[in-house]
Amino acid sequence: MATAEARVRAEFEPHGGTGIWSWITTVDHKRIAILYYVTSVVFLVLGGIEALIIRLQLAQPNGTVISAETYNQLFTMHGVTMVFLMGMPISVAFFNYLIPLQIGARDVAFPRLNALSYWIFLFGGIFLYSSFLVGQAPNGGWFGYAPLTSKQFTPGLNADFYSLGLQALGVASIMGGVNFITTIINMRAPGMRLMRMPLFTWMSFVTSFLLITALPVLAVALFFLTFDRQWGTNFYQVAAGGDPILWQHLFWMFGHPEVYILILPAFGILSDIIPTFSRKPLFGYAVMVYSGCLIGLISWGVWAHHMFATGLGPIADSFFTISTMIIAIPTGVKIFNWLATMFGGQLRFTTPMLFSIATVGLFTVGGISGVMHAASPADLQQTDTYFVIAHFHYVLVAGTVSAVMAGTYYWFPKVTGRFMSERLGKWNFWLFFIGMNLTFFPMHFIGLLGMPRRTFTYSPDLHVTNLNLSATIGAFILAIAFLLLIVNVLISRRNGAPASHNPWGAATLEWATSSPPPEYNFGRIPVIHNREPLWLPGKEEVVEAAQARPGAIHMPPPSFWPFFTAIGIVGTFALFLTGHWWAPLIGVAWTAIGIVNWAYEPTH
Amino acid sequence: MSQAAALTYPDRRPMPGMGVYNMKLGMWVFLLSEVMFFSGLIGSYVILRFAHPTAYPPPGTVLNVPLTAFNTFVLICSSVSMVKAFAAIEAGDQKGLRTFLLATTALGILFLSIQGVEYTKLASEGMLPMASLYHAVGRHGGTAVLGGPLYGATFYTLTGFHGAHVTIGVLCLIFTSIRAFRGRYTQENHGGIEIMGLYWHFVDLVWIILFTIVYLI
Amino acid sequence: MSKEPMHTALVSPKGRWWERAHATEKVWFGIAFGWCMVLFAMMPLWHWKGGQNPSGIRRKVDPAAYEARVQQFVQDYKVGELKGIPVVEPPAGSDVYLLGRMWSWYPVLKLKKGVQYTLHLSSKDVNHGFSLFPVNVNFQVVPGYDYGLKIVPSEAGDFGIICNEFCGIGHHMMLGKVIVTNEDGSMPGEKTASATEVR
Repeated sequence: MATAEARVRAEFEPHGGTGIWSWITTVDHKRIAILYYVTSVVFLVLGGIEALIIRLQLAQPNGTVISAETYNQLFTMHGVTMVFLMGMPISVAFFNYLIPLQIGARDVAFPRLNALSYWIFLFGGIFLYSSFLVGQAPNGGWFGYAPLTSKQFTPGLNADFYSLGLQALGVASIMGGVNFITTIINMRAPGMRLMRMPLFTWMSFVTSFLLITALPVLAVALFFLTFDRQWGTNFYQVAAGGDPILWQHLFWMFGHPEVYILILPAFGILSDIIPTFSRKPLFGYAVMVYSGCLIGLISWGVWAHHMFATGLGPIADSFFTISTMIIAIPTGVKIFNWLATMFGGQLRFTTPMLFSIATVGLFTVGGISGVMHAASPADLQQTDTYFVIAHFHYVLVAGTVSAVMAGTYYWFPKVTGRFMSERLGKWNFWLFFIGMNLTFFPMHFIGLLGMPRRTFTYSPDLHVTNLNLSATIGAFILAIAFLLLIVNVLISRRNGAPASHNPWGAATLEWATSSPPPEYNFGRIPVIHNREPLWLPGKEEVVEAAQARPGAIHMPPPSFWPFFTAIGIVGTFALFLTGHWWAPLIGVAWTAIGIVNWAYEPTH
Repeated sequence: MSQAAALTYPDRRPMPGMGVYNMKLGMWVFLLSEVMFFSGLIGSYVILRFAHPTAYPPPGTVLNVPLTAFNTFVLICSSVSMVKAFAAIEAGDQKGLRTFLLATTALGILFLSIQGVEYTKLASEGMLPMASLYHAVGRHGGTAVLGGPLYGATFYTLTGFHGAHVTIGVLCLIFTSIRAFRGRYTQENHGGIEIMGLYWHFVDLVWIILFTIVYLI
Repeated sequence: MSKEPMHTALVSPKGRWWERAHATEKVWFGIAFGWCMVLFAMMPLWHWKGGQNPSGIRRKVDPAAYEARVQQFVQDYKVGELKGIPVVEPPAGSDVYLLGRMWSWYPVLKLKKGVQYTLHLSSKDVNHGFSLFPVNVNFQVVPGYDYGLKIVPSEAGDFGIICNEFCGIGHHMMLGKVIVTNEDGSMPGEKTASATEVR
């Protein structure tokens, strides 16, 4: 055993560095998760600044803060950022950190592929944002309806940045999905049956399936767009027989599963936090799992509810109305199950719990307005007005972002071994709650009064001036709330109160190992006998195994090639901007060099 | 050391889930993603084509169906030789593995070459993905209009994406063959051949659908 | 290491490893299922009995041909001009054509209250959104598609058309107008903002 111990030390020392190089070459899922989180927060700040400028412009009728062209770029980049550069990657940050810990694995199935996903995401994001440097950021809205994005109507590089950037990000997401599905199916600890997995892992599982099935459809749509713009094909050009509605179908076939890609991880986070602070097992675990799967499944049959106004005909309208309303049922089941979990529980109103409860309530507001859109006659009144903006911000800000804040406060002790400040946390929560409602609730009325979305200015005759002003004030309060979160993280990272391995008294496996977890996660892989391994009898053995002195554990060594290959992959897409047909081949060659080196790199 | 190896990324050790090792499961999941990609392409093709029946000439008037039928046969043969390569290594036959891997690679290259010849001929007749050259197709053979502007675009996109997949497959086959000649695959440990085979069969399967829908219908 | 043998999730474990649904869970299943059925039945009923969905007919159309048709329509029934855009008064019950283009609605329509028209919507260039203000009814105007809607103006007055599908830099300035006169052709004394019925 002594020699094994020696080997452990000899092998871990090179992995455990803290310099920049160690972060560039890391394949540790926990470090990649931190990279994902920090990068997503940076993009959250950028997207937030864009939103604040938009709100300043709209604070008064006939606003003149920015030009119409800048406004178009800002709202497009706000949407693209919040969906692709913040919402998805911040969920992936949680996937990365928690899935291996929750299922009792030492790492994900393909650690280097995991690093590659991250670097593609980072470079893809930088590529998208570099468009501001040439003053030609995407300006066709985040769903870039054809044919506005064609060469004829957008002669600049704007739509090229959009199509190529999203293409690169899609590659990263598909790789991530493959990785997480394999991890969850194959890497579970002994006894960690599917129906014993924590709900967060379950929802990540469903999300990963949506990722690998939805993103290829977006890839098809974007390839057509790229070919139209680069090589003069006519997929979306009406005059040549192309079909602009095709873009809408393809985009929303991706776009609606995408909505659930954004919200299902949030559901998972809530389903882990609420039982902990209610001191009760999750009510109706199996039903929660099945409803999550059902949401994922039905999300493939609802896309055309985004297109009621294009005149699909009564049969299609009725079909998509019904399918969309059906999706409200599993969602409603989840909401009631969270309430039932809290019912009769010993509630502790910590910051993560406050965020979770607020999410349940506010998400329901967004959910209900979603059912309103589902009815196609009602949708014709609401579509493309601010009512829709109000709806999906209630879903994404009060759903995804709020749950992510809850998750940040909840898992921070696990990641750093320190609590976040509860006092700042309470401020953070209430500012978020007030700011969020002040910003987005008036938008329901702004929309019903007839203000279309994506308008640069509006006339005072619309009688929405005060409501818009309120939304602007709310947006700034919301900005302070996000700032407080960042301040709290920065302060608590060094000065927070020390936390034990299971500071909240939670039930799931990630709390068995020490805080922060060692690189190998578990000294011995624990054997799982039930859904609440840290609550039910046998918990001592689980904790003992998790924190045991490690035997001879081999962890994958760091690798530079994911970073290198990611430059090649994003570079391939970026070089399309030059307009030379051979330029992307440079990126392909670079990628090939990376892959060959990757393949021959020793992993032992 | 044996225990250390067992805890890492064993090639063929059954895992608690599917009883399938990681690389193979990962390939299956990736192929699911690929299925969605080609479904998107084929679905779009069907929508565009049946909305514009006049833009698409009857089968066989522009495309050389017999040539591509032969090419399809080549690809199916390569699938067979891939199976034989896998069967050889399952039986521990290194020589068979090398022979059939080389055969698969050669057939893949032959497929790509024939596709290259086909593309060159079509392009010389004026069939290009771009709209501006659409009338050139019409002049070919003296008939009024052989293909609308979408015809070239969809044809090259669908077959081109498949060709890109075959190209990647051939590159991986070359890599696998090099490893096979160095004796890296054994009767017990030949996951690389198995996942290579999965990918290759998938690419063949897609071609059979594409051949039917682009060339024959 | 573990005493338990390796598990595979595909083989069911021995014994009764699940828990029976609690009585309250069963009640909840019942309620959820019932509600599911209500929702399921609601939408077809709403469509066929309530007559609420617009039974518009959408056809493919060549944008150039559609524009020529609109020009013809303007030539035939032009009665005046408003800020450079012709005002068109088509005969009652006829087909009415409206063209969306970057960034205006062409032409201005003058319709009679209580008469059914077939309103054709299409675009010359990119997607636009036909939003009748202040009624808040939205239809997407897509190039290459002719969206034929049967409408009966139920209120006289001036109605604005706002573009509500993002269409580029002039999106916020893309305004149009529909004038609805009384049955006798007179304008109402004062503007009323109320429903135009869309079937």
